[in-house]
Amino acid sequence: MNIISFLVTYLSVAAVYALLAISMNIDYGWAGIPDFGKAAFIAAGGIAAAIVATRIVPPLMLHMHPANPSKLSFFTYYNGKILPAITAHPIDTWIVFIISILLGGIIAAGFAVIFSYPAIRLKEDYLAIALLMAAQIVWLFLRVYTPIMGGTMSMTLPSPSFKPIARALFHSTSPSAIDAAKALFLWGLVGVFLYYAEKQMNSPFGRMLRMVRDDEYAAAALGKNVARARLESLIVASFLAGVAGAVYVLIHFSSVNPDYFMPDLTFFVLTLVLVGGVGNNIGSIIGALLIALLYRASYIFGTSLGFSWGSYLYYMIIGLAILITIFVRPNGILPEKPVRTPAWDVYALVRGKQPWFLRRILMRGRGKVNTGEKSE
Amino acid sequence: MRKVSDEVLIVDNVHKYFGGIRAVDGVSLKVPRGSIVGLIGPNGSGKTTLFNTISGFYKPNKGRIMFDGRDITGLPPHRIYKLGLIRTFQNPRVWRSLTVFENVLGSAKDQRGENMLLAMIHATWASQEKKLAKEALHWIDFTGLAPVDTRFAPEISGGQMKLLEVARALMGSAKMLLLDEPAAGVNPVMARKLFGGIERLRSEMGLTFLIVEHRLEILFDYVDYVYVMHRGRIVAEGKPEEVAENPVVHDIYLGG
Repeated sequence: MNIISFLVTYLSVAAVYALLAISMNIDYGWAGIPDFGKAAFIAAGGIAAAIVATRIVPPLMLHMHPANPSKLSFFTYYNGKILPAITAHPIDTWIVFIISILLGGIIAAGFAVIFSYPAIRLKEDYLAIALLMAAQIVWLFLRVYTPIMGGTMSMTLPSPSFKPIARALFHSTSPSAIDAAKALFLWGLVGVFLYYAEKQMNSPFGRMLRMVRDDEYAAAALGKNVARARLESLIVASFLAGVAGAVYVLIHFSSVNPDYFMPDLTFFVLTLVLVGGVGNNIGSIIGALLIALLYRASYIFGTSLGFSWGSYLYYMIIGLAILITIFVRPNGILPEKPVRTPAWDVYALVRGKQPWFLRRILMRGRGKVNTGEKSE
Repeated sequence: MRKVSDEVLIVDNVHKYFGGIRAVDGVSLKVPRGSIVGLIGPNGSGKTTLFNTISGFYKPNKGRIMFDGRDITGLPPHRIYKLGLIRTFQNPRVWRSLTVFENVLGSAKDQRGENMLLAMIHATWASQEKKLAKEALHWIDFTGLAPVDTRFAPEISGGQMKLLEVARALMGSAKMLLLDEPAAGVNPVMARKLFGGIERLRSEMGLTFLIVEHRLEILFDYVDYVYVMHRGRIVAEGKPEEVAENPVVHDIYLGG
């Protein structure tokens, strides 16, 4: 395998993981919600993509009958007629993509409201169990209820075409140019997620979520509506998870199958955040880059060993990564940063000095650092 | 009921049961506007349960609570806070990932930037945030927390955490404060300083205080009126010097 193509594929995979990790960082990292139902919210993106490709785009744009995945004739009709019709025009594949990510986000936000409703007022464990159960229900429901994505038979999806982008950027439509365009596009999307997350977090809203996470009783006593704050963070995070889910199926897999959203996906995404840094968006991206590398490398190495257990080597390596993180840097590779709002400008103006940690962010929790101003 | 009464807080026959335990068993008390009222009693007499009931953390099984002419029985804590009745906790509860400055700043009322959507539009909340930051610095100076205001909240001393809780309540534009053992675990000099500050707030801003405290020798120097609780009931009340000589109170405290 040549190194460039390995790198390009690796970067695309890492970008998709980074999208999922940023979404996990919002509810788990900022608001402290143990979102063990992330797989269900990611599945919402898959549901959206399947619905858009079978029932929304064919009648509205192609003047074709919608396809019903539960029918026997589905695959002849869908694979034979609809897919070629959509993929014939690159612009149509992008329309499918854009409708899917929006619809995926909306469905996921709706899921967040429904699934958290029974337990949003309760303490962490109950909410965690309720969300874990939701992920299990969504996965099993998609397996047995065939009209959405045809049950366990993988359904091919019209992946957005990167040919025009590759042609514009690299003046080439070779497979490697297309892969590079895909990786660039995905990292652009990561940039959008990161921009959004940083902006949302460095605001009084982000501060409120930390208050609710650190001490919900104090937050309630000082005027924060705890249940509402939790629900809002869950909605925001789930919307992003739905968008990321649509990207996951349309670009990463180009197909959809309920087993992509098995509940253990949640814990994979959680690993990215734990290793990268809980509460730090850049940390989540670094976690995604690191774990994706470990994953691909250990998979390739493991299968080349020739043992039957070689392909499971990955689990051991990831487990080791979690343990090392917990022992060496319990807050993750990049720990949480203070909330930055204009209030600190006022502080600097009135007190005539910058708060010590704005220059020493990375040193937090690494022992007492003598910065001169910290001591009185 | 008059719309505005001289009693800013009226607790009327409030009951709170946990299963068969009558933690608060028919308590009635009145706190006049601008006064400092003490609430004393041995451990387990129901003082903190009463505080939790008044501040909305528990819903009373029976009875009514009026604040500033409004019925607040059963309202959630964040609504009661908005009306200006703010409590502190027996064991200080601070937000550990925020600095002292942010702990105070974040307690402000009606922050526009706490709205999920407006938070994305910087211009809608930046000027308010700057105004609140100045106010927060004022309360930090008032409570004497200035030397530690950029420390993370868990790094400060227990006494400073008590002060931080008071600063947060002041930032929330409180009309009345419920202080749960403000002097517990604080050295006598600092405790006296704290009560001196309470007295100053009462005289300068007209704030009202209801204070649970075990250290009677300090409390009695500052309060106008004292209620004594025992086994969920008010067993004695009166001016501090009367209560100090009440034989019932002696019995309770010396093992009655």
